Amino acid sequence: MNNNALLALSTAAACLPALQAKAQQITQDFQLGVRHYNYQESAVPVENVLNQQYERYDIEVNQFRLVAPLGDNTQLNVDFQHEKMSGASPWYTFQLPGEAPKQVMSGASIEDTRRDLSASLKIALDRDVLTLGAARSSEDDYESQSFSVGYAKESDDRLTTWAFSADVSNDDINPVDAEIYRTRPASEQSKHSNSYLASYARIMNKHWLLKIALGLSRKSGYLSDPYKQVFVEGALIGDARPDKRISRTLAVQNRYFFDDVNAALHVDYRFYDDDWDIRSNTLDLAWYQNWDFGIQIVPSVRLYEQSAAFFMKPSTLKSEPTEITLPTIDCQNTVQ
Amino acid sequence: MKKILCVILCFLCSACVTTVEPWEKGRFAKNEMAFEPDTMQAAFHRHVYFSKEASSGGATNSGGGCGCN
Repeated sequence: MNNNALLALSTAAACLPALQAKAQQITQDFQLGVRHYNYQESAVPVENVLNQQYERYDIEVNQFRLVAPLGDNTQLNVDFQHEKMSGASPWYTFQLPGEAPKQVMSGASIEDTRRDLSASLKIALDRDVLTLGAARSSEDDYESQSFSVGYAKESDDRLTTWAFSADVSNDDINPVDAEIYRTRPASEQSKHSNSYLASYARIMNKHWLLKIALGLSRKSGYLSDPYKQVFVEGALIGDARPDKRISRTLAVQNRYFFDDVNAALHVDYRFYDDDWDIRSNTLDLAWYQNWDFGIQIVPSVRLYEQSAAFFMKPSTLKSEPTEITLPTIDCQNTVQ
Repeated sequence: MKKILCVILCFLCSACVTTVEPWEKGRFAKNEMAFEPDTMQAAFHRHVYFSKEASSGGATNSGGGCGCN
């Protein structure tokens, strides 16, 4: 092979990953996805419940997704999620001296629907990708609007990608039945949050892809749950959490391909820490096994552990009460 | 968190990192090598975990809230 032919082949080979990278960034085809999920929360163990309400939520979720190319460099993503939930929810805990805390559940008459619409525009220019997004989520008593912006840049050798993103969210909550339950705010409450994420992704070798991400999130405003109550010194009071929360995350994601067995291993770890003294560790493991006829089997396991917030402590009655009367909790949309 | 970052930095500077030629990147085009191979399922899982756990975020932005947490 002469030098010119070798040069031409090398140039062509070098261009292939570039075309592939662009193809990965911007889809060339319209894609439509529809999913249905249904799941039930596990019942609370009988010995842990005070008011014989053991069953919890039943949740149905319908998802729709549209991915549309808008020219060679732009892609539009639209997602819609419809979620319907019904059942009972934990309300507060009650503890007698010398006994384990008991859970008091709401009545199983809660019904709520959530609609979540989000759209994002992805613009790819050579090695830079800009993403703009907006989302709106609405429930009977809750509205949330958020906006996001992201920027990613590939290195010249296309082995490394740096990415930065930020989002801001404004939420409003109008608790139902506030005139019946005085611990619930009678007027609209608001919450504001913003978060920032920086990530570094690197092709480590021809089998291994690594990503490291650092995140920071700030929340302020009404961060309590208006439907939860706390039993303190013989009285039920409303859930009252601090009005500020700052959290930090460190996430590491690994993708490793095994040629011998035609499978990929995913190992993801996340460390979370916030100023409410909540600290958590999450480990996700997944094995993507390819089979003939395009079949893929994906066994996975997720391990999660967290500490309690500093204000979550059991409150025990100092003396045995002569009589316990629980409030009536069976009206519609009472506790969520 | 500083200790974890130090370990990661040492790891990245180690001999694990090798140069990968353009024609050796074929494996990374496979769907199962994506950080999020199934976007819809990942979004569903994120929302379920957000509604049950006190922590959120990590490899993606937190996004908007909901009345579930």
